[in-house]
Amino acid sequence: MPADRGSWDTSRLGAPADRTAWRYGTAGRVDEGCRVDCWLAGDATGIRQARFEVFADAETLRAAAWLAGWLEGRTVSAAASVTGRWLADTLGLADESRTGALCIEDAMRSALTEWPEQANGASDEH
Amino acid sequence: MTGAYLDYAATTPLDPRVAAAMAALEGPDGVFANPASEHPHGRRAAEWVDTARDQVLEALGDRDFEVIWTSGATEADNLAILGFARALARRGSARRRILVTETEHSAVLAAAEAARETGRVVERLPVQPDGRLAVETLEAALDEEVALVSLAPVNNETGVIQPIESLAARVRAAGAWLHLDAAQTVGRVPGPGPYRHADLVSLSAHKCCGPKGIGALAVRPSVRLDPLVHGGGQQAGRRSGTLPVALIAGMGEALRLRDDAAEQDRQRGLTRRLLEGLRASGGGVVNGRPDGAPAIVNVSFPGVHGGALRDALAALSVGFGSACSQRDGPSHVLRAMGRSDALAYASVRVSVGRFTQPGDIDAAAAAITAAVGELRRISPLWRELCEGRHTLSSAYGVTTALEMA
Repeated sequence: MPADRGSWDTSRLGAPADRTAWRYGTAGRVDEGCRVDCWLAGDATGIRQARFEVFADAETLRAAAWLAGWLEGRTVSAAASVTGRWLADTLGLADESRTGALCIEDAMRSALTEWPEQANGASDEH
Repeated sequence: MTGAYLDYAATTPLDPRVAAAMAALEGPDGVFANPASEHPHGRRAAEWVDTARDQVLEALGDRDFEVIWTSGATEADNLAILGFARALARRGSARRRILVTETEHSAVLAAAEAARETGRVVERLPVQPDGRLAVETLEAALDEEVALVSLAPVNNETGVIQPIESLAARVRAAGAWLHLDAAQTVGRVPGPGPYRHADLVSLSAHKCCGPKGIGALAVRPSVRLDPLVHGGGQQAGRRSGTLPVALIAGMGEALRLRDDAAEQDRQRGLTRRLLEGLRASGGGVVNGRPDGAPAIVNVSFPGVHGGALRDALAALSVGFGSACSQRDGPSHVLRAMGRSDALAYASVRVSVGRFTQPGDIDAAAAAITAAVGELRRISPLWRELCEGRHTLSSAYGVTTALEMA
């Protein structure tokens, strides 16, 4: 699935203004050069809104912005199948930014942990 | 079209007056002969070299130096340290230790490391969080085994000015020699300068609106150096190679036109204007001291990733650490001042000069403020700092108390 690399819209970056009813996950460490927080809003039918906070390089930042847009309207099982490897391959990320893609995946999975419905496992199938 | 140039600490534009002086020497009607040649053209060229030498000594405020022309301050640093160490070794000197600070320029650090080949031991002295070398630290390190202490009066990354007068007194008392890497100092920093305390002084032309490719090592007549460049024996064998008259004249002219006190005040006003302009970003950690060099400001922006910041400011001609070692990771100077890698990486150095205008500063401040503001808006770390869940020190895992300006 080719990525729409034109959608570097940062409007889905940053914590939501009102964080009630959002699910939250975090991954990474500042001293490792990458920290990503994921905010997801939705219900059993799927993800209504997605946002990321990012402390990482520019490519990781853009990848998170793209994924936030991709996640909106997706089912939880579709979200749960996202991997950092898929994200990096889809967006053609440079090798040094692949770690950032893994961090994005971990933050998203952390946010999905307590979702009412959650698909099992992860897959590179997409 | 490129925007304003705000990286004067890396290099400076050639002053048009210096360019004109050099251009007049070029060409078949100019002064192009080898100054070592014993004919009328050569003697005329030698006169121009003598004039430039006098201009160097005038800038140093001390005529008791000999001037060795080099390709720049990097070569001058190498000659001062490695050439000195080799001469010591050849004489069988018992003085085996060389002291430098952790914040010296990479040219000094690398030359000192190279001097290990002579059996010297190199020790890097720690600095305080504000970048200064404490007199007590130097005193504790000095003894009769120290051969040479190398210090930069002004740090190229932070503008921190070392208390050379106090430090030099201790060096002299220990019987050691003092080398000053004055690349950022001559013609840029107010006051008479600390050169009278030194045995060797490295100078750079391209840091003070002179040409690139020329520098000098000012050395006391009693100091012995082994040459690093061998050849025709020019400059009493201390540095062979035909002297480039136009470059030397350009260096002399650049030093003659060096920034005066009024210009230094103007530049300090510009850097203060920048700091004021950055307050709208939420502030940053100033890496340096308020009494530092007037033309250099270095600020770290907590909550912001350094790589993302560089990408966001790609259109700005500023420094992100030392321009002389771009790919060496976070600044060794800032790390020596106790900044964590992440905080050092998120730093911006703005350095102004003779041709910098207030509008340049305002545009840079606006660009930096916008970039930092946006990156902080989306940063989980900045959110947690604002929520009080971290202090700067705890967020970055450092023991140094950091304050936002």
